Amino acid sequence: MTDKKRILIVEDDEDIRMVEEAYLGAAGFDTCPASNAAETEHLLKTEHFDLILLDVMLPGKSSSRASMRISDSMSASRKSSRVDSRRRSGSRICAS
Amino acid sequence: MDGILCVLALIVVSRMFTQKLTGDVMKPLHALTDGANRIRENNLTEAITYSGAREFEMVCDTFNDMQQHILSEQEKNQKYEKARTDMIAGISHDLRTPLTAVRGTLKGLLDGIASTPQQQERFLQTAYRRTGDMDVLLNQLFYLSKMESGNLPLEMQTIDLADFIWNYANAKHDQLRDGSEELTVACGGIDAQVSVDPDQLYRIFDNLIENSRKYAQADPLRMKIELCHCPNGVTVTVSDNGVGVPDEKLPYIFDEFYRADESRNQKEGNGLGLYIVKHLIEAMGGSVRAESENGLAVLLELPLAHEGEGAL
Repeated sequence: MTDKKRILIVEDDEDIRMVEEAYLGAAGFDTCPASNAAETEHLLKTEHFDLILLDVMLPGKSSSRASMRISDSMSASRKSSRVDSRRRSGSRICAS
Repeated sequence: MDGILCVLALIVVSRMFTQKLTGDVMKPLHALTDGANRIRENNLTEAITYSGAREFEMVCDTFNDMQQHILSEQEKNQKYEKARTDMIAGISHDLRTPLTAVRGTLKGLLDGIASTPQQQERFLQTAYRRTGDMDVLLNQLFYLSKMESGNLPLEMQTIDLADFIWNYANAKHDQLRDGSEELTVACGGIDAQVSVDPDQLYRIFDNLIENSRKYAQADPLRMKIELCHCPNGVTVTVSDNGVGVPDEKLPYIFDEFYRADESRNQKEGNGLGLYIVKHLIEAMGGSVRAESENGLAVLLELPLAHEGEGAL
C-alpha cells in the first residue's frame, strides 16, 4: 500500500489534464484522471481520494449540480472543503 | 331690458361652448401628457385610451404607434446586447481554453516537468496543435467580421450542383481518416442548375463536414451528401450517423457561438461554423434547417437558377 496522497483530477480538456497530472505526479502525488461528472461520481463511490481538483464546467451533466453532489459526497466523508476560484473558466472546488 | 337679457344669454351660451371646447381639447392633451410622462418613466406597455374627436384619436393612435415602436426597438436592443455579451463570453472562453493548454505545456517544459524526450515531444506537439485551434478561431472571427460588415461580396455563378458535390467529395476524400471516416454522395442523376458563389458553397460544405467530425462522436463516422428536388428548388442534405442534437437544442444550433455542449469543452470547435453556414446560404437566396434522427442532418435549400442568371 502506497502512502502517497491520492488526487482525483476532474478535467474534460485532455491537454490541460495531462499538464495537471504531470505537475502533481512530479510533486509526489498519486493522480487519477476523470473527464466527466458520471465518471467522477463512479470513482468517488469506489475509490478513496485525499483531494479533488474539479473543473466545474463539465460536459454531460449540469455542472453546478454535479459539483454540489461531489462536494456533498466529499463533505460526508471529510469535514472540510474550500473553493478555489483562480480557475481559467469557472471555479474549481478542492476538498480535503 | 330685452337687449340686456340677450347679451347675458349670449355670454352664458358662449361660456358654455368655450368650456366644452376647452374640455374637448384638454382631455386628449392630458392623455398625451400622461403618456409622455409614462414613457419618461420607462413604462412603455400602457397605451393611451382616448375616444372623442377623430383628429385627436388619430394623434393618440400615432402616439401609441410610436410608443410600440420604441418598445420593440428596446427589446431588439436588449436581444442584441445579450448576443454581444454571449459572443464576447464565447470568444473569451474559446481563446482561453487553448491558451491555458499552451501556457501549461510550455510552463511544464520550462519547469522540467516533462522529463522524458517522449513527454517533452508530447508537450510541444500539444502546444503547437492548440495554437492551431486559436488560429482557426481567429480566422473564422475575421471571416465573420468581413461577412457581417458586408465586405465579402458574393460572386454568383450558375453551376451544376451535382457536379459540384461530386468534385467536393473527391477533393475531400484524401483528408478523411482511413477506416474511421467515410463520405458518400447520392445525387441520383439530378440536373440542378443553381446560382451560388462556388467558393462560399465550398466553405458551407467544409463547415458542415467539420461540424460532423467534431461533434458526431461516431466511430466509424459516416457522412453523406444527398441531393434531391424540393418544391422550392433543390435540397442538399449533409448528414452523419452521430449522436445528433437534442430536440430542444435544435432550433439554436445556427445561432452565433451556440454549441449544444454547454461546457464548451467537450470537443474543439467554436460555435461559428453553422452560423456562417446560415448566413452564407441565406445570402445566396437559400435557407437551412436541421433535423436530428439517427444523427444530425443539415438541409440546405436552394432555388433553381433562372436561365442566364449569374452565368459567366
